[in-house]
Amino acid sequence: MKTLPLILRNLFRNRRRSVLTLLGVAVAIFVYAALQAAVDGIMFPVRQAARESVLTVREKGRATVLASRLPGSLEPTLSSLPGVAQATGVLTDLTVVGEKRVHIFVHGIDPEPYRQLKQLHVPEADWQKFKSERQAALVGTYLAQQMGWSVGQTVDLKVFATSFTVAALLPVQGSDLDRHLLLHRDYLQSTRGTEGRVTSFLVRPAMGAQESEVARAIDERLALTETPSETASEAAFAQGVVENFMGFVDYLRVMGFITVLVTLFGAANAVSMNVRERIKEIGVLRTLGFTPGDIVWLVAGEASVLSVAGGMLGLAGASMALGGKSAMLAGLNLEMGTLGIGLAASLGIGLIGGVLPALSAVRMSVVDTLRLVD
Amino acid sequence: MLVPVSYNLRSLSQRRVRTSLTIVGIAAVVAVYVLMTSVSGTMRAMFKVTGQPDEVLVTQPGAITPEFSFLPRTVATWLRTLEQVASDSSGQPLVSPELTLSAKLDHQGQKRNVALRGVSPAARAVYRELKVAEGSWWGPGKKAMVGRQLARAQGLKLGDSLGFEKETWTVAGIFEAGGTVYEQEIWMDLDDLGAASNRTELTSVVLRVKDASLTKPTVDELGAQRRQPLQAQAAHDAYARVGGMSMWAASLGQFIALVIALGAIFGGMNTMYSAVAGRVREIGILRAVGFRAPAILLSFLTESVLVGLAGGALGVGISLAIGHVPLNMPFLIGSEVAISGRAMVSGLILAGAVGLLGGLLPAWQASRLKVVDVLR
Amino acid sequence: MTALAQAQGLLKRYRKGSEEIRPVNGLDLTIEEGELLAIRGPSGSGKSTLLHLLGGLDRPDAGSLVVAGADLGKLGEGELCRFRNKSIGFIFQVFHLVPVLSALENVELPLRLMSLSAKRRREQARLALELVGLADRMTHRPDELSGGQQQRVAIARAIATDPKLLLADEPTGDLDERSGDEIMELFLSLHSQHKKTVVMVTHDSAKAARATRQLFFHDGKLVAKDPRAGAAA
Repeated sequence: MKTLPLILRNLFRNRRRSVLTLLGVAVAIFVYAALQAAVDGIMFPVRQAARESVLTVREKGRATVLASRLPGSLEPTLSSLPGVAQATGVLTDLTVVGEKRVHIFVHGIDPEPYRQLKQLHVPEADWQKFKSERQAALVGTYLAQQMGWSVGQTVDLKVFATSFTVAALLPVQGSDLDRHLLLHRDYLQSTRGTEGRVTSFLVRPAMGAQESEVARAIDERLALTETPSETASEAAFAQGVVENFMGFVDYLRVMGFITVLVTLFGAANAVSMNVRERIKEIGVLRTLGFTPGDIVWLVAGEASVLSVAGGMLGLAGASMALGGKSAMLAGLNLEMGTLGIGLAASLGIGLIGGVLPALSAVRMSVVDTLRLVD
Repeated sequence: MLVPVSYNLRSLSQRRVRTSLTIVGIAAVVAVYVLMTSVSGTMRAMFKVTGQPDEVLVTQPGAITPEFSFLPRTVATWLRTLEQVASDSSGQPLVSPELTLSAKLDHQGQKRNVALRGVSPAARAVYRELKVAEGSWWGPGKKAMVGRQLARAQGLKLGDSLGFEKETWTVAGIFEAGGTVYEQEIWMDLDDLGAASNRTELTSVVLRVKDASLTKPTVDELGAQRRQPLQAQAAHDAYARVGGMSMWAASLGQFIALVIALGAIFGGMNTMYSAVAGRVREIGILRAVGFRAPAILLSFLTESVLVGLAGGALGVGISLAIGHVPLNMPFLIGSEVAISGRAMVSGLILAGAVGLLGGLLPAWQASRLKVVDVLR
Repeated sequence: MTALAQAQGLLKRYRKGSEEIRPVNGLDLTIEEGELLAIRGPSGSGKSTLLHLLGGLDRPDAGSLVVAGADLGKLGEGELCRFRNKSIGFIFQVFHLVPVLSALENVELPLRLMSLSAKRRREQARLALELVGLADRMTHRPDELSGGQQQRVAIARAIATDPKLLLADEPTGDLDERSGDEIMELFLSLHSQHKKTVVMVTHDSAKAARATRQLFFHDGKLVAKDPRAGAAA
């Protein structure tokens, strides 16, 4: 408190340096927020799936998760296993559509069991429309917006050799299904030439059954068949899909970290310049009775105010650029948590970048600082 | 007359901590940039050489990679009868039925993702660019041919045992294929792989036409016919498309590195402004003894560029130390990417540019200082 | 009269390359409350070192030093800071004002360390500035003030906390003759009217002569007579 007015005054002392430092932090926090929004957008299905206790059974040893193929005839076998409440096979495929190269996940489902298992919220009339027609589709709301599809429209996805009629929009579920396309399983199997086969089985364990136990039982049961399985949580399956198609998530994370680190160096540099120029003044403050702790706060506080201001600028930019609807449809997901961490990171940059030079300032004896010649 | 560079070096060493902080910051930016440039560069090179002009890749319509494609075996039989397909010396049509899969390779306790390609003996004539470097061409019996780049990266030798698709395979040969993506793959007998993976159909058929000029008509004809829905592509185009998908991630990385570089320019500017402010008197003296304004400008620019280049060199060093990057890029399972000379040079240029841009305004300011004001 | 400060066998040594120098070497000194003591001596003789020791900026290597009831050799770092804040006022040759703060804010600085309300703090700073005759310059920045005025602000800052002892290191050294004389008058009035104890380092013999007592630095000790004057005689 006692040093706050001085901190604020010092910010305007070397205006150019303050502005450059602030801009540097702003760029860094913007980059961080953008990368995190991309990562969160990509990882969204994984986190969402983690909240459900659904198991996914897929072909063992397949590095590309969605290339897994299991005989659909396993469904009764799985359903009858102890600890399994319900099992349904899903054929999942991926297609890339149009100039904007929109990636669309297509699920071929057996409507009724799938709805129960995934606890889909669909108005009954819409559901009946979808259920009653073989070539009908339920389209995720965001996907429909992005593609400009409307109810009743017949869409011919030539690149996917599949055409369908939009029976209804799937109301926003708050899950990755909002960007997916649901078709009848037997119809998708026929257009994709994979009759009788599915990508995975969704399995809901019975009440009270241990998930890991059920998973083990399933894999043991299928171990000696022609298609041994790998059963894991739906989240692990989603993670596998992300790794296959978005293998660069880790790169985004590393780069976000490097950005913050580079800025930290820059900020520390700017603060150490300030300290060097004001070393005598710091000595004078100490003759007036300011303690080393006061001085550290003074220097680090100045750096923090500047850095947090830069962070806020960067986050404001990020909110404007990434907070809108089009960014959301493009799969970017800017969360409050990211803004919070960005702000904390900017504070950290200021504190860490400020404390080290500040410590070097108070390490010098008062007498030595006063003796320095200009 | 120019200000000697030794003067700059000495003043840099006088503010050692600040100089090294700036250098480390630039180095981090450059390391990211060099790595990402190498990733995209290597991929571009690899996909560019893959696929011959007279080669046609046939898959199921809408399959984003051959792995997602399902074709009945009869498709290959029918394609063998096409008139425009070339033949080998014994009159066999150059048609290669294939099964492409990604698998988890188990070698000496280490797991990694790898691309598998099951082929018939016909592939030998179809893939003219492929040369057996060690061992022999495969045959049935759980024998595997390993691409040179994969073998080198994994330290695989003839006779090694590999575990994938529930079976144990023996490395029977190592092949070269002119730097194409095949060198990252493991090839084996089509039926062996089909049996092991429980895939009775094909994922794709590769064929050679009699002349490169027949490629486009063949692609069009196969796409238009109604007998069986097929997607035919000139192999070169298909691989370029797959490569493009993989590269956008790397391009994103490059772009981000450039944005971070912008931040680094701000930092560099700060450093150079303070360097100028701390040496106002020296600048006055230099001017007083006869150095002209452009010489001062050049001197400070040199200093800034030197710092940038030092950071660049360190960054290139870091990227080399990280060395071979194991990649799980989309559509390209388990490739290895090496740091290319071109990427290193462009990293150094980026570092120099950061130094130059960061030093420009401060150096300009230094050169505008008036001798009389300075020495007062 | 009571002793405000007492030094016995005070020693301070520095290493300069391989050589050891002792700017203060076995010095004895008693400063009475209310006196204006002038310390003279050639530059580099250790006058400033003595001021730093008296003000708790530096610690003695040997000997005892008690100032305003505090045994400076035994105080911890935090206690030393509080001691400097409460008991000492420093005045430097080159003023050392904080350039971004106004005169009033500069004077307020040491008061910020005390538990005072903002109003009391401002009042006390105003009072100190009035005392040095700068009531009309309170909102000016240092670069808008003349050298003499800057030094007045520095003096106001030093007396704002009502310290026991004012330590002035060549306070007129950077000023022209007229301003220097005015500053000297200010010190004299602080001493006579406000009963301040002042130790002033100077090599201006005319100004030193107006002090209540003069001491001379010689070989790291203080002597009552100018050793050079003696040699010349």
